[in-house]
Amino acid sequence: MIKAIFYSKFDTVEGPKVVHQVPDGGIVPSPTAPSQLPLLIFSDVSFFVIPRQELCGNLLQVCTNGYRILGYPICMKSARYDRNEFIFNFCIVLAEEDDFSTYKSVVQKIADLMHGLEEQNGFLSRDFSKSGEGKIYSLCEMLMEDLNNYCECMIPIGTFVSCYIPTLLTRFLDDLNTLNIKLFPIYPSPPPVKAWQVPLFMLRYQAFTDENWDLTMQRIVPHINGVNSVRLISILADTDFSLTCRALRHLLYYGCLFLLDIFSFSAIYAPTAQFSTTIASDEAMQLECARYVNLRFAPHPPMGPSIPLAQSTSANGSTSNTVLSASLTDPSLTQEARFDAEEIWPLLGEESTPIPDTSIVHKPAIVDGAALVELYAGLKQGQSVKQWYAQHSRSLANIDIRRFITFGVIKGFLYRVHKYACATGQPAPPPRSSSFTPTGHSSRVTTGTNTPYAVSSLGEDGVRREGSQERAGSLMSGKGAGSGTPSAFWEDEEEEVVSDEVLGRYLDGTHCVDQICTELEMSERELTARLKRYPGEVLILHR
Amino acid sequence: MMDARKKKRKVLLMGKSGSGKSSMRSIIFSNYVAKDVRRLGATIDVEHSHVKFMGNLTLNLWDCGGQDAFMETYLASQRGNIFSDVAVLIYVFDIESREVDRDLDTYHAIIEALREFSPNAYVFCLVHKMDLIQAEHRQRIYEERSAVIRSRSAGFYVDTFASSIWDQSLYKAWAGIVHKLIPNLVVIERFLTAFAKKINAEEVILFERSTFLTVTSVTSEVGELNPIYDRHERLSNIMKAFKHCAARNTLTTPASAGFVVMHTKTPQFNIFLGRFTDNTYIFLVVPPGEASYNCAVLNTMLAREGFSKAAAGGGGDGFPLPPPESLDDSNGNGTA
Amino acid sequence: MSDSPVARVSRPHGPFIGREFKFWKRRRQLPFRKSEAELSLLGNLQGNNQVAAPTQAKSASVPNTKGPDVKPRLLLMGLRRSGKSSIASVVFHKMPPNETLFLESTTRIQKDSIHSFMDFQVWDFPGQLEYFESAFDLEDIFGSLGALVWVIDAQDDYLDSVARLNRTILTVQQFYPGINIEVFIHKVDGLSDEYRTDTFQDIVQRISDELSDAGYENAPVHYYLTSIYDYSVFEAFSKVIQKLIPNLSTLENLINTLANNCGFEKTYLFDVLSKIYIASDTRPVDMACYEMCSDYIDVIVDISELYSWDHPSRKRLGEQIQEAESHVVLHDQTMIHLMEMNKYVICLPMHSLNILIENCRYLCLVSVIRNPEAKDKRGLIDMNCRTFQDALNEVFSRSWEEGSAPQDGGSTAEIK
Repeated sequence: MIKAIFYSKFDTVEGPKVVHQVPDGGIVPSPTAPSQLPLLIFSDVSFFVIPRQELCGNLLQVCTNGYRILGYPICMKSARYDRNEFIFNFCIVLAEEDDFSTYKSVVQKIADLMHGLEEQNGFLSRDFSKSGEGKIYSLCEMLMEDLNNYCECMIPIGTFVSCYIPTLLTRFLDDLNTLNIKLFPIYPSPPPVKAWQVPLFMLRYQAFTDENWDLTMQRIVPHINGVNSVRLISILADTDFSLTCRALRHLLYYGCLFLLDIFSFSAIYAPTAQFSTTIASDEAMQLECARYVNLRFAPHPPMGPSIPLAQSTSANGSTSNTVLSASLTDPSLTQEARFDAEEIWPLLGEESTPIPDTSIVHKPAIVDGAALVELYAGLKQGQSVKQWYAQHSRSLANIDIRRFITFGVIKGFLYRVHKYACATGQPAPPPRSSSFTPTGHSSRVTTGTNTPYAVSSLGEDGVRREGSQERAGSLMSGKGAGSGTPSAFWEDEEEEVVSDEVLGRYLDGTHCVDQICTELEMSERELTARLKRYPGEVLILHR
Repeated sequence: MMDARKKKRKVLLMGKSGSGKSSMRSIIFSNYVAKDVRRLGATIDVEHSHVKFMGNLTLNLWDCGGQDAFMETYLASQRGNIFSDVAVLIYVFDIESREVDRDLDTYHAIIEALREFSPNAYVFCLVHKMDLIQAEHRQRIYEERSAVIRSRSAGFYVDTFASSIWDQSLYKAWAGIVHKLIPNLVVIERFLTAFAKKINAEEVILFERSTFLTVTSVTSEVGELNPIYDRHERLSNIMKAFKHCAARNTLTTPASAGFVVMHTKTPQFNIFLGRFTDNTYIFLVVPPGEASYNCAVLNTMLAREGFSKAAAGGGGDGFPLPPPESLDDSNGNGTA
Repeated sequence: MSDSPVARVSRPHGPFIGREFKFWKRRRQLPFRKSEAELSLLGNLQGNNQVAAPTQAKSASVPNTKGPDVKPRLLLMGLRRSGKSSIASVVFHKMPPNETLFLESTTRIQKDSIHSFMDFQVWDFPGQLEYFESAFDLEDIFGSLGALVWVIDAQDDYLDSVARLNRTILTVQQFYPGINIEVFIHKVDGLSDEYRTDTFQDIVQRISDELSDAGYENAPVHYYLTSIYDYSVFEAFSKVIQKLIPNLSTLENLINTLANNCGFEKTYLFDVLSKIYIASDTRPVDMACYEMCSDYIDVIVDISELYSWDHPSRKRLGEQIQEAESHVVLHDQTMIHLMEMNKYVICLPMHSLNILIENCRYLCLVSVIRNPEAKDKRGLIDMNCRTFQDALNEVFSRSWEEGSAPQDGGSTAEIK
């Protein structure tokens, strides 16, 4: 909330002076509003409101008496002014603790506009109206009212130009001189979007799309579902890849999107340091999680070949138009979730209850909050989702695993442990030389950060995985679903598509496996096989 | 060190807005020429500058913007900050001001504040912009105004000057001011008097190097007969104007321009101008006579060291010798 | 050569001993101090003064000095408000340029004369005055005139001025074909560079077209862009004057020889009062040198004014040459050397109003030397300058009196 707006200028006789103030008497005592106590003592801050000439043209803020004054002083030099200069400042006063970032652009915009008007026809320097009267005063008044009530304003500024220029042109100029201000939150520029990332809407995009949107945007939006990678979206939507990235960055800027990684059963996830302060202790979050991951509430059968256990029967008609990645925060959805707390928890899998317990006959077995936390805690370094699933299959029977992982990543208590392939330049170790050391980790390096490196030599890793990867093909290239494809078949093909030289460029340890797969358009399994045939030692680092 | 602290003299430059404070400061200390000062903007709040004057005597100049709002803060919230440790107050009156009584009231308030915090300060009042008064009324109006100013000075002894940036009166006023600020001047003057007598000089003037303000001068009995009383400030004006010209035409800044030596021989007088100490020029006027003139010049060169010692012995070290490489600059005239 | 031992040429000291020297008496006019004594002095020097200081002019009976006047005469003409008086004030009265705004416009024909080595008059013709009517004696106006300077205000509509100038040229040309016509396209300080060039070309085109229409080809008309706010007006005047110097090439040869031998960067022979140079070495014009030389003259004149007071108790301490000599070494080792070149100066005591100065040549030689070693060779430089001075006087003693001078009458031989 803006507490006050005032226009101050340097008077060559009186010095720094408040010419107009809203509310009247808000900055300096005013005879017309004797009861209004000034928010601050102007003489204490006048040096910052009307600073030295060298400081003008910069955004200045000063805090006093619990208020923050934002201003953008302008010093105009011209021989037509007394003492060769005209220094003015339109300031906004906010409470000191309020967020002021959105107002920065407002004061700058007002300053620029006034600078222009003053240059055109001496809009400010020729205004001799009394305090509390005249155009500039009403401008301040409207500005404060509109910004406080509507967060935006559109104030036409009639200039004195009409005296000199025919009507038509005047109208034109008046149109130019409209103060259009909207309080936009300012966000930092989002990081560049990478091909192997998977965007997920945080909001229901249907609620705010319209046909005037950018064409690329309109085409890509339906393909954003938390499953498709950026590259895949651009292929599916038949849009240029770089345009796709830009459109996604745009959505990212306004906080509509969240970027995930490619979900795969071979991926590794681990809890972050925030784990204990979020899901582990926050029951509301546990409930939210349950509602999100419970297959009962899934809108329709999940698409995508990567989730083999998603043959859920629940098809809730009321939310059928909601995409898979329905909002985590959308209030409308929360309201629709009209289940009581007991029904939210996912049921335990029935088929795998080995010992029927008579004591819980009346109550169906559920995965409650504590159980969810336990499940999350079960994810750890060095263990793929598949291995984890195998251990907890009963609990996960009615849980959408992809959503389960996604929830953790979005909330920030889970992170993806990426794999990096790194060619050491050494000759390849003799085949299966280490196959008898099933513990896997040949070395474990811990750096100063709390992120451990898990280094394993490819040979054994590949061996250990071969069995487990058959159902967990990578999502990205569409041909990842080729489970059970005879290896001899694609090996022949691969020889022609990607040369060792091309592959070698990715093996410097800075490219994660997702990236390599996406850019070389191969599945992770294909890549693993390919790396095994790579002429030289290749290490896989988990990080 | 206590001594170093003492040599930093706080000089307040005050007066109503637009009375010409910054203009004269720019002309005297920043090598502005009079016609350029109209391009200056107003001074906002207090502009601090350190003017190195005569070596390690630093004038800590506070150029105080004279707008009403500023004056109020000087007298109220800034009172202690502004008025303590003041060595000199220079108060500028605009002769054209239409609110003489109000100006005097402000002046009186300032003087009261000064008495409270720095009762030992020197006070100089400049009645400025005298060029706007017709020449025949100048003296009378100036005297009337000085009398009124004195009557409002609350017991301070006040030196008044009539000044204008358009002529040498500005140099006269400021030479008077800096004269008061230089320590051990008595020693210096005694030395110069003895020296002038030895070389038969009519007049010996010491100018500060960058401002060309007269530091001090001695005049012989004959020299006192010179009918032109304002010659010292006129010399400042003449030499500074030429310094500007030299700077312009050698593509350098007025601050770094200067003279190594100047000789002038005419049938009625001979003049020598040369670097004396690091911060001063010496200006000798001797009667015609080629041989005696050359002797005087050589003696001046020899006297520099003695002078520097004398000044130091008197408790002041404001006169260090110039660096050795410039010592021989003036010896080129050895045709005696 | 400056590095060979040169015997000092004996110089005629005789006539100067005991003479009062008044050379530096002419004082600079400060903004609000107009020396009346000086105006009257000026007025009395010129018998034909009509307007300036009329009371003194009348009270003093002054002999008409017209007679065999051999100085170059200049006439400054042009429409009113074209800037003639300003030019005269700035160049000949040292008025600061910004003060010329307050000059009242001249209402009558005004002859402002300058007692310098040349005779100079400013004539302002009020709009309707037709000076070719019989009431005006053409002989009086144009006889013995060296050059006619016509001032055109470039910031104003100049068509009328151009038309009038053409009529004047055609008239004058019939009777006095020897007069140089010099056109000052004035007040160009207010114009942009481009517009300045356009105006210049337009005026030149109009005048030459009209003159050739009238059957007058290749008229001796010269054009200058001038402004009182820089040195251009001095430069223009210098060029005008130089055309009237009888032995310019001889002078230039002399100066060249001197400059080469002494290693001078640039050397000017200045008229001290107006700071017009009547000759210089033939190296390219260097405005920086000109400015410094010109301002240095000011310095010396101004200082002299402060210390040239007369009093019986002022005693000289020994022998010294009569001509003033001065030099200054600047921060960058540039040296400016100045030497007075006068001879034949005859001055009577101040208290007599009948001051008569004949053949005063207020000349001084100013040089810029950029050789840092020059300050050690000052003796040689002085001596060479004195030799030059003798040569110069020899040239003048012949040329002014005889009208036609001997070319190179052995004068340059002394400097070797």
